[in-house]
Amino acid sequence: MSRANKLFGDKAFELLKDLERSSQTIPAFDDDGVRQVLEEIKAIFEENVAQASSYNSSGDRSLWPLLNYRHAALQRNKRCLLAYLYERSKRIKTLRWEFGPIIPGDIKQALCEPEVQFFNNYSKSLAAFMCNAGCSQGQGIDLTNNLHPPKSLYIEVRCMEDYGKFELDDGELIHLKKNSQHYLPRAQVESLVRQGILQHIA
Amino acid sequence: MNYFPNYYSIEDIFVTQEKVECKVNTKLQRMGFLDAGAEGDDLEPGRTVNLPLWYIKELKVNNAYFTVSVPDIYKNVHKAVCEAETTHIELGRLHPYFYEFGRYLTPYDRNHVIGRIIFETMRQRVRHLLDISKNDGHMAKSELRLDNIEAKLHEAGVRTNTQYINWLQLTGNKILISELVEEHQKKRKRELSDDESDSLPSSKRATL
Repeated sequence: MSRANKLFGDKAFELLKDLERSSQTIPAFDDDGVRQVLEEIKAIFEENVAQASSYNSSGDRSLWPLLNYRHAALQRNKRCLLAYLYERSKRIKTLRWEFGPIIPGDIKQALCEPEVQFFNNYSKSLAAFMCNAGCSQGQGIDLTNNLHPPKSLYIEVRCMEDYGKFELDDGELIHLKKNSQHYLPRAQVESLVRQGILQHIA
Repeated sequence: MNYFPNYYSIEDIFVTQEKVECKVNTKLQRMGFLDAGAEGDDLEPGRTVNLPLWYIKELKVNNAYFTVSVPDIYKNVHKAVCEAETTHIELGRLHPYFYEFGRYLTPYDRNHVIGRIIFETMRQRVRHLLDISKNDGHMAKSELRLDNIEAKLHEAGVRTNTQYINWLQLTGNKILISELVEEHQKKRKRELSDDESDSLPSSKRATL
């Protein structure tokens, strides 16, 4: 007796399990896994089509539970795949808010090509939104700034690594060397603090 | 914590992956692969098979093919234990998704006890959760005490509590580095130090 048919849906569930339990922010896109699941879906679907057409000609209802089971397996695989893609796209969106408009190189390697395009499109939409949202003031508001209500106009910061030259809005050039301390306007410097280049000292 | 099971929610997919024991009622042709120990191609009536929840929940509750048997953890023996010492039970060890799984199984329960068990357990444990999430220190107990929903609630409670304390002590005003960036930097440093320790024996570092 051949046990060729096994319980479907295992490979798709593995995809989700790996994603959930991975220690990295975004693990590498599991190309192989996704392809296997897609092939499994195709195989189940073809079997079902063949069986349904034979039912149409013979009217024999005895194989209906098998048809139903395959249909449930198809839906299950589809659900797992979609949830996998959706979870990854959610994480890519948080990437934009945390890292800014440019993804670091090693994270970028873990994304597949359509995901990189998704990130760029999302960045573009966010930029357009921010532009339009601040219409009354003439220029857009930066939503990624001021995530907590600011308490003061200027803040004291210490530089954590060599960043080089940084130009403020009024044209003043600051040279950011490691361990140097500066007293800078909060609005322009907040993004650097969130990136870890500067550290806010009380 | 905004959790409601939806199509994309990963917890829901995990819960529906659980297997439930069912008894077969009628002969099902060519479904023999569902049963590990069966010999023929067809599924014989009277055998018990372990079927995944995502298949069972598609069928009607009173369908003619299977009778779903409720797992022991929701039966009366455990019910007495649950009522006696609710807060001390290691719910995580009984089942990591105790409440969600029970919720899916309530339609199949002839005695209508599951709903009440889940509700009563949750009611008692929420009070206890509130107390331990106000505790500043780390959880000394094992990880298995809380089920999935309770663990999320606990986490949310701890987070809210720290935010509240920071606000009271006026320490929360610093702009902090974002969490993801911090993890990323730590990982990079770890990789760099790994690389250095690998290459040191083979090459000399140039010193200025």
